[in-house]
Amino acid sequence: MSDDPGVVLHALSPRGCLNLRGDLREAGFRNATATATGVELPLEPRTWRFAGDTAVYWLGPDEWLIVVPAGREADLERGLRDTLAGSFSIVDTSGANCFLNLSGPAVGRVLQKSSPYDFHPRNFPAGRCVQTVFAKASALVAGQADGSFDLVVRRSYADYVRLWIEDAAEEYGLARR
Amino acid sequence: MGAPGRLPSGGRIDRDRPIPFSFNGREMQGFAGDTLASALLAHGVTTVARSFKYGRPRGIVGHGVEEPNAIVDVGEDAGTIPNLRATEIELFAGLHARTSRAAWQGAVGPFARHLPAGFYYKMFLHARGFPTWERFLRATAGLGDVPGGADPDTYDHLNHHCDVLVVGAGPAGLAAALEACRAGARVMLVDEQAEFGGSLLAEQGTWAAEAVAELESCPDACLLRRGTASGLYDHNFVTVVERRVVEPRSAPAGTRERLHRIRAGQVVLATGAIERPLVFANNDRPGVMLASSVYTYLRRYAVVPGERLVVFTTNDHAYRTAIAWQEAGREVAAIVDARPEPSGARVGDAVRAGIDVIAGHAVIEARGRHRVREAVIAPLDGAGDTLAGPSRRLGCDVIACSGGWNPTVHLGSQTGRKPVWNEGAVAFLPADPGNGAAWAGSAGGARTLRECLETGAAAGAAAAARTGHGDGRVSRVAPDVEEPSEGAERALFLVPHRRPPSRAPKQFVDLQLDVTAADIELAAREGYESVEHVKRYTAMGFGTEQGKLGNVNGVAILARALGQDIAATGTTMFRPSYTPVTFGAVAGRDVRGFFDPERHTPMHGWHEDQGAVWEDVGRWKRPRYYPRDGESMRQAVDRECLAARDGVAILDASTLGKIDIQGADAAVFLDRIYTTGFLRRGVGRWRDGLMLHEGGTIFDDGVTARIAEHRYLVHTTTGNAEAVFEWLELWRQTEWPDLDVYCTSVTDHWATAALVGPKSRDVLRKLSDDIDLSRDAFRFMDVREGRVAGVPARVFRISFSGELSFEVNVPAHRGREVWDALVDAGGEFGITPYGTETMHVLRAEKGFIIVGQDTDGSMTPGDMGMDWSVRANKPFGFLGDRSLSLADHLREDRLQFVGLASADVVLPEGAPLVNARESARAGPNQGCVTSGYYSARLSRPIALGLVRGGRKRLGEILHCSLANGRDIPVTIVDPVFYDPEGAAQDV
Repeated sequence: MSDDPGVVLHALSPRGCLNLRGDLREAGFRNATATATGVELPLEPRTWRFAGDTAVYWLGPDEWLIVVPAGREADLERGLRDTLAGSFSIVDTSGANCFLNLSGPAVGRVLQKSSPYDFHPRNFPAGRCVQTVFAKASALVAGQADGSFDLVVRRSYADYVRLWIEDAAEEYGLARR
Repeated sequence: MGAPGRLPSGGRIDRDRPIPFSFNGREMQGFAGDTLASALLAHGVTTVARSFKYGRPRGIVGHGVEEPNAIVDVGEDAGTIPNLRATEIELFAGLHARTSRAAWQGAVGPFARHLPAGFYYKMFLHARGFPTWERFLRATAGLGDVPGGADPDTYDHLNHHCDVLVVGAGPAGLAAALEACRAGARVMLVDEQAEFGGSLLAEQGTWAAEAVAELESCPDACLLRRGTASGLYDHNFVTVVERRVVEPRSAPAGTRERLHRIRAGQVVLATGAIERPLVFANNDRPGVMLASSVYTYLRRYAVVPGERLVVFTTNDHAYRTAIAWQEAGREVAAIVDARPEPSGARVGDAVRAGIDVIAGHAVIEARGRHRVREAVIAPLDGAGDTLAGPSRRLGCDVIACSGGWNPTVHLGSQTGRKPVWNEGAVAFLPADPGNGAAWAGSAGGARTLRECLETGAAAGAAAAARTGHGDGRVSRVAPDVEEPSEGAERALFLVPHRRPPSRAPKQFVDLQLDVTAADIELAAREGYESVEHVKRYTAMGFGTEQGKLGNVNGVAILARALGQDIAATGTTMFRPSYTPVTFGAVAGRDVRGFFDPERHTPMHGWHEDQGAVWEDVGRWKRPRYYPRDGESMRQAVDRECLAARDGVAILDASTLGKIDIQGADAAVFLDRIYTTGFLRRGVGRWRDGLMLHEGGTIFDDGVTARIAEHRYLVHTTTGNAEAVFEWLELWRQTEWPDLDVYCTSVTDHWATAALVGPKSRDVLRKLSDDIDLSRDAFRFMDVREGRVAGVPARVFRISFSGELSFEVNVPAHRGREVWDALVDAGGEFGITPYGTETMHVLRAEKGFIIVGQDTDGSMTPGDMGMDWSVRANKPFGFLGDRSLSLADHLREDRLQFVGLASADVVLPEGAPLVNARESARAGPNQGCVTSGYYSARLSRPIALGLVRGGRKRLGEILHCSLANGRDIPVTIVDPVFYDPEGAAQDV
């Protein structure tokens, strides 16, 4: 492949994922999750936060995705269930999510080809995340501090999304990691 | 090889870069910077096409998008691109262009002249003859040749967002983009030419180049050349088609066209104006051109398209064409000005230059067959309706016409707000398009360059301010432009002749479709009053050109024929696309493998390696069967079925929809959703249930397991996963927000392997040491958690086949690993992979339904013999509960689910059933076959179906009508063909 690729596609190894639902009005929900995960729940729509190797993505007003290194999800789920009270739901979705990272000078173009969402830095600086249309599938896209983008796609669509990205990036030169 | 029309100096062409090309087989040479049209004119090519209906010779009229005649095909074979305007094709080496063939010409030929306007409509009056006419009509449709074979080029889409989108990079558009950029807005500037500048490209100044340089230095400005804005939709969504590969076939890997999908906060429409031609007798002769086009060819392309010029004008503007012509060293015969007393500054310039200005006159007819030789001129009366004196002739080979200007209102009028006739401007001026779009420059009615620059700058600054950038004030005034004062123009739409339009030589309104003034008057005489009807009756404004040149004249001529004013007549509706858009650009990359995404299970690669034949289920690829050594489908399915019944077989069931339900009210929620009762189901148990619509008809079925006190796992059919999820959320969010319950899709999280057959327990036992698999510890309808092949798993004892069966669920990223282990462990038992076809046969042998195959959206649980699944007297009831007691749902002659036995033929799904003594085609329908298979276990065909009142008709014989016309007898039987006692799974 090109020495100076316009786009670098990095297929990341599986990670531990928990889908958390809960009611922010319930006393203690925020504190309990922060204690168990070590990350303050992002409350502002379309943002994500991380501390150490744990990241929490805002998915909706009552929904978050917690991502930890593979294998840690079961312990974290137990910890959360022990801490939380009242109305909540925790679902292990580690098997459902595939993680990709897209970087390179032409990464914006590939996103423009793939999604009607506005990933321009004015609208989508680092620390933003959004669930949106990606080609004919969907993806959670998160802006990273280094200017790259993490993509979380459903496993059954991962082959399609990978082929789509390879096709879209071809004209800019694609490197795979 | 002479180019007699090429001037020795001037223009924006690069004389150091000659470019060879051919047109209709003739080899020629132009220069970089030429269009095909300018290069042809330089070579003195006058006739470029034959007209659509009459076969008259036609020449180049315009210099841009408005060109009606010079329509060409470019490229070869499958790569052919038909119907391109020669005025918009940048010249490239090896360009082979040929005139787009009008199919009509071949089909109609010399008879065309005898076909009146509206002949197409008239054909429908005599319906009996229509089949004959239709064949004839089909042969006449179309322009250009359809390329043979699949298009070898690629196309794609690109999404954009900006604060301000400026359409058109002429003076107004450049000024608007500059102001918006300076205010700090994200700006996009789009123009259909290869170079920004618009009309300024024919002028000497440097402002345009400086403006472009400043825009290029803005980091957040996106500049798009060779892009035609084709549609303006709600919320300022604009589509732009960019031509990326100028030279077809030169860059096979590149994208030929790119459809830009732009979402803009504000849109500035600086789309310019197109000069209005004048309608006089034989105004279609080669050499009759737009005055602005002659000027552009002279100044921008250094091409003078003739020797002796007559300018025919109703305004001052066209005088510059005569002056430029004279400066090029050619002769100006006269300026024929329809106004009795032309008075503007340019008039004085022309007179001082010694040009003969003939005021109060009109060119009433062009003479010369293949090229203009003479202009016949005559004085006009005050109203412009009749001639006021004798005519005379002026020798010339070009007549440059200007009837005023039509603002290019198309794009902004697509939102449905029609332009309004303005008597003073002698033009349809655009209405406010709303939505935060605004007009600028001559598109909005600006008359002078200064007005264009000022309205552009103001529109750009205002648009930026409305998106939160700047205060709306213009930062820097555009350059001081000295402009001559202009006199008023004269409105003139149909130049009178000595004879009326019906008797005069043809006075063309629409050159591309050969529509004349007489045709429009005929339509009015025949009773057409709406401009929309006249358009369709005469074909005015159809074709690839869509009336850009002629429509306003046509509207004015119609208005006069109807005795009403132009404002009351109005324009036809403007719709996308502004110019023709290729199917390729619309499709983009969503073709072939990308047309619809394929969803793959974690075991997809294994199935592929095994040579599975696929079945598409929703977007999923599922193995249908696994043929071995040249087996037919029937042989493979028979083998797979027997393996499941006698030994052990394995199915990838990962595609089933799965939804995790949690919350204190999860049981209450499911009790309301399903017909089945959930409140008393214990933890670690599952049960199946039906989901009904409010109308009481079956929507989905599936198994739901209680995982924990307040946690369930719902399974849906593969194809219904999304619909069921939305259904649950609909009720949860809108009707029962008080319930403490959450739904999360886990379809993609679990990989599922179904182990089926009497030896399935033996296989699983080898891989799991922490689940007690014995008959009594792990009963039918139990769910257990433990490890399988070392992976945390959830195992269901379940059966969709009637055999002993375990479904092993593991997280999907470990699915392949566990599948491999199961296949490996099953080796000694002859484990056989099976696909959806065998799954269907096994379930049909047991009389299990498939929702969507055996039901059609109108079936109730009672119809399907599934009353057992409906639990009455629930505390809240369930969705569809009350509808089950509707009188219609209780009819005894409803279609009911039964088995069908036939002697030797597998009944085709969908085949109709009729009573035995009646003919299949005449008798009342008794139902249909919904599933039909060959059962290897029973060694005979089996079928399921729906029969009127069927359950009380067991043993009765019906006739099934096959597609080949044969009727065969079938017996109504119980739908359970195999092991009705259920002994096989109870081991």
